[in-house]
Amino acid sequence: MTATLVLVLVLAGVDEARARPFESPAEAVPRGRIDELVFARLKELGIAPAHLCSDEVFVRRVYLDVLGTLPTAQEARRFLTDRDPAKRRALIDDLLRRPEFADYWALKWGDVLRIKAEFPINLWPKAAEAYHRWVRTCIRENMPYDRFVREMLTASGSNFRVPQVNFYRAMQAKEAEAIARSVALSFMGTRAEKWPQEQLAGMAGFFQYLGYKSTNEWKEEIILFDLGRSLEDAAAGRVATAILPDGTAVQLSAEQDPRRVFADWLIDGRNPWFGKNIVNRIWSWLLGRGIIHEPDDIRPDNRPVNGPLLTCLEQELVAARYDLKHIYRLILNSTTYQLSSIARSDRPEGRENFASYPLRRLEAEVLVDALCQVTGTSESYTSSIPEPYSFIPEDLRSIALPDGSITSLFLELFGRPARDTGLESERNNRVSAAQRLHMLNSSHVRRKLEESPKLRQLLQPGNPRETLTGLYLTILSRWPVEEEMRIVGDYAQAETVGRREVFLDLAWALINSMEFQYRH
Amino acid sequence: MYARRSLFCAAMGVTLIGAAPALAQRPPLAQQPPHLAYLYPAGGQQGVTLQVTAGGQYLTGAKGVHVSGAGLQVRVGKYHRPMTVGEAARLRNKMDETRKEMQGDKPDGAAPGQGGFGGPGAFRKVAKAAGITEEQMDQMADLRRRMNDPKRKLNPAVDETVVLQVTIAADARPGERELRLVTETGLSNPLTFQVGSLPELTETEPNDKIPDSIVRAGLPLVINGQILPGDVDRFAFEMRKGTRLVAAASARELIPYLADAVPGWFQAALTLFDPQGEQVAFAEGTDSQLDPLLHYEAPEDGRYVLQVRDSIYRGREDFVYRLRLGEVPMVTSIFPLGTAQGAAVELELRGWNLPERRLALDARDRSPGLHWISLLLGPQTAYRVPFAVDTLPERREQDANRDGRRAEAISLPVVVNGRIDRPGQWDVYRFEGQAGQEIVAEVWARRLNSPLDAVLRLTDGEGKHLGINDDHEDLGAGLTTHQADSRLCFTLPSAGTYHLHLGDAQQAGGADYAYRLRVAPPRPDFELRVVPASLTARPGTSVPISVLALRKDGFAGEIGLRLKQAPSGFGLSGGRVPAGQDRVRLTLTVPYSMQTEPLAMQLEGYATIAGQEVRRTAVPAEDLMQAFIYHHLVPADEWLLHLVGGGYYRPTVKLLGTGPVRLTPGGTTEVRFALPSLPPGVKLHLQLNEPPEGLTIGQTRITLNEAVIVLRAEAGKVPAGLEGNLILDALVERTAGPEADPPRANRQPFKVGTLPAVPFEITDRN
Repeated sequence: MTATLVLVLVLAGVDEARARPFESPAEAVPRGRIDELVFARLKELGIAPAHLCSDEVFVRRVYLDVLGTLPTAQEARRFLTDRDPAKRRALIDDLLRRPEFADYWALKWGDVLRIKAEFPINLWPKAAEAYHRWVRTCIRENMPYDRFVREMLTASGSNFRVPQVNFYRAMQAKEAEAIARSVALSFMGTRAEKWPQEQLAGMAGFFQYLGYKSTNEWKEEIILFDLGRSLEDAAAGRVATAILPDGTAVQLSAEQDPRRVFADWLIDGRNPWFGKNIVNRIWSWLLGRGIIHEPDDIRPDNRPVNGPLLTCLEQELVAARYDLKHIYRLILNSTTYQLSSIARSDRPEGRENFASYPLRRLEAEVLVDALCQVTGTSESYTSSIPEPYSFIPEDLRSIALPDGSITSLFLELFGRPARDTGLESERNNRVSAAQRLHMLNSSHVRRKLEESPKLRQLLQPGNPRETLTGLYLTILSRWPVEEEMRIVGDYAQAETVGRREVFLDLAWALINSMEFQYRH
Repeated sequence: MYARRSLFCAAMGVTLIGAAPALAQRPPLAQQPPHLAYLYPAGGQQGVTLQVTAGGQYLTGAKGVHVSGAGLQVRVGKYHRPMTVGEAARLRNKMDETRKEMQGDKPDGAAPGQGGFGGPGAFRKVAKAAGITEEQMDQMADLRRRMNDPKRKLNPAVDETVVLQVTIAADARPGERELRLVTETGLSNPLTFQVGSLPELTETEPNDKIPDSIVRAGLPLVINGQILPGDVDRFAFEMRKGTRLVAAASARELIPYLADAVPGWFQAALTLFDPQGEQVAFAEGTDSQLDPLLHYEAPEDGRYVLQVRDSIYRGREDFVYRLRLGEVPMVTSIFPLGTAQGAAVELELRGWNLPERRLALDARDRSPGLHWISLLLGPQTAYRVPFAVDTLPERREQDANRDGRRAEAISLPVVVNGRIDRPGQWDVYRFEGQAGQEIVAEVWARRLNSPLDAVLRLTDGEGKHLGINDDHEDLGAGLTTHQADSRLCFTLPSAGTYHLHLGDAQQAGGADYAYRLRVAPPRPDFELRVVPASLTARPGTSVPISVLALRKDGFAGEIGLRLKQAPSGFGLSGGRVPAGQDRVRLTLTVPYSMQTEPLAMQLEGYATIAGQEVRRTAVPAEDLMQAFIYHHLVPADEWLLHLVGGGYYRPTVKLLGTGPVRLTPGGTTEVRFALPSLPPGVKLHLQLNEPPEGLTIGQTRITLNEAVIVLRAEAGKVPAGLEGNLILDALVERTAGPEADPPRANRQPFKVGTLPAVPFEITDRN
């Protein structure tokens, strides 16, 4: 049997594309305004951009970047065998319509908005679930970004029944200045604690009449404009003022919710922070680094590496009436995004100016979902905060977990953010020895492989080449190359283990490869 | 003779079980009355006989069921209590001992195997030799399974079950019934059982991933389900394009609060998926609907799936629901929310699949107050809505006001029926007032199922802000957790024009945001709630009850309490709500009686208001706890008393002296009781039952024929002027008995009864 396998593998032919799985031999050429601006900057720096990535890399990359999900073997095969020259654009359009898009980006927003039941945020389970569901629904329905933000900033109501009010609960302190800091961080991408005190106090004025009203339902809280307090201040001759971050002073009417004044200023197309922040974040999420870096640290002395590029994206957003998917489409269809991760220059400016796609380890949730997908297994999540305990259905994927407090050893080990601050840097994607050991030698991963119904099905007796191809498409979303087939063949011949063990060992080796664990 | 004896006991005090043989075991009085946690299914169709599982605690000895209303017959079936860990351990020890004995007989006995018994065969052999039955073996296995299941926790509050066979008459009126279980130890709390006219089915597990297909059953129907730990229920059904589907769950409507659940009720969530598996609708309970109500118009023919779950994926046996599914009528709001007494009114209905948008309602025979009325929506559906009736003149808000163009002039007294039609809208009413005139402005909206979170503001003619109120608590609205209605009580500073501004505190609005605004001079009045709704007593004893006074428009006077049309021999001790206080605990003493069926009782309060005697019948209520913290008074249909046991010899404990016990803050006083001769080896204890904070018993002296308690009022905690009743429980302790050294368990004091309430007053001086 082993001999047969070796023979088949050795005889198997591979075409040119299969021999060169990571990049296209063609020189990358600009395909639009984004590319023109990026390539012009690279030219200024004298840095050659990487080649275009191969279809194999693209299909995997775009699934992971857009859906936080691996393509299935069938999806990868379908894309790779498609001869339509516009297939990348078609795939991007298709993925942006998928429900996993809402799952994955609700996860990202969950980090930014600190959607978490427990200390120090203390949204509590039902509000966390409701808030996450609202965010996911907005993403699924592609709510314009200005409306998305305005709804959060101006909403009043119960944390359980008007979920967007949880913006004002999902922070460690509820004083007006703390709220102003959270608003600045989340929607202006700036750290207001570094501002002059008068600027922060001025912005806090817009949140001074925010009221938190409790009810007789456990952990219910009504967030509203405290009209009574505002009228009392006015009656006592205390004139309420607030100052917009651009320095404009605003005289507040006692009967008007000042949050609306602020929100209308913020989402105005001329606002210098609002559009810039979100396009910079999206760029950073897709390309691993902001045009302003860190993406949530916009300030005068932290200049964009490519100002015209940031301005271009900002204008595109406003022109598209804050349709974020338009920005996703622009970036994903650019040559810049589709560059290979094999850099042609080792100068740090190349990385800073997007000369190649940066290698990044998969986020904890994406990685464990990928493991579950390739093995056909699931994770068990529970929360002991409610009574009786919550048991998350096993078909709910980790990227769709509603509450940052619902976690696992794996998620913690692989750097899932605590969602305490909303800072992008809270997510830790650095690789550690403990992570490597877990992937190599933990009972968690070993059990997934050994008890995998999917691998059992894949490893049914049959043509070894097909089995090998199936494994590669399932785990790495690409065809195996000749060298790999030879190595597997040699291994099968050298070892005294059976066919199933050979392929199980191969699956184990593949999920421990950087190619599996990283975006590339 | 019988009547005289009962009178004596009611007047004099608690009875004790005196005969030494009767003390050999704890009397049934020391046992808890049954507590019902759930009914599953919690309803059925007219003309059907079905099996219902009643789950709860202390259900042993179930012998009957009391159901409110007509049309239901219930037979009590098998009782089941899962084996406890302690019981299993005792059996296991017994088996260990038997095994050792058996191995002693055969030194070369079976090798260690299952549980050290040498395999299943040997295990069963040992069990048989130990006298353990097959049923006990099965129970032990069941206990092991439950303990090894990470999703299940042993929970005594829901673990016992009784099977009920419920026969619903074909002509039984659709709607809700209250069902209480009668056992040897008492009468349970009431639980809701719904009677419907639609066909029903009960879910079939597993249906978490592959939906329970209800295609063949067809719509409309009612699905009965139960969400267990980690459970999600899915149902698949066919819809034609254009079908206007309604999915209406009852969950909190069945069990409003769960004491030991956090959050404090089953928060059902409904999700609808289209034939492509895309989520197309979602619903949870709202401010005006306790349970989720989902509406969807099918855009295409196909197989749709409806999912039912707890919003945060909890589950337990008492997470029971009923789901009405189909193209059925559903009312989401009515307008107006009430009318004047004696008037007929045409209601505007809003909702889905409604056969009519307007419905004539004859409220001429309705008394003032809040009523639950049934709206008949076609042949199969009656929909219950709250509706207010008042004695004041009524009016509808005018369009000009609604548009916010100008303030609407009103003459007092008046009830205005209006709506906050748009988010951010303010309705403004103008009235003329006199200096010193006292006015109450009160909104009724959330209490009438309107989503409005009212805020009410008063300004003078120049727009000067005079007062504002957002939420005003009404403890009588036990199912309302957000007391969102507003109330302002004010004395006008001068003659002139005043404006009342009514809006939504959350700046919301819409066609459902209806309200009733009463603007009138104060109408001092009161309502009463009596707790609990189910009482269990032994003949000739007393039971504590609580009465809550819901005082209105500043009424602060004393309210006398009495039983209404009670049979001979019943009496209250401490029957008054002192002036200025909202709550009192008192005792109901019952006669010696052979009454075997639960007895419906009524409690009446009376007070003098503006020179007139006003009488109000107390509404029975259960004090339900939510999330280990909040208490809610949930009204019940009946106040029922059930007598248990009897035939014991009961010497009495008698309060010595008359009039209330008086003491000062920081002071003490002695309260004396005459004791009967106690049997040898029996010791009496008296202890306070839920006393006011700061009132304690400092010392108890018990002599041959007298008990003296030294009552202490802690300074700073017990204010002067406080009045109420002391409720004292009598406990006995066996210090010696037929055996020279009784087991420790028998020496623990146990409660044998409650003394009639003893009134007290905290005064400034002795």
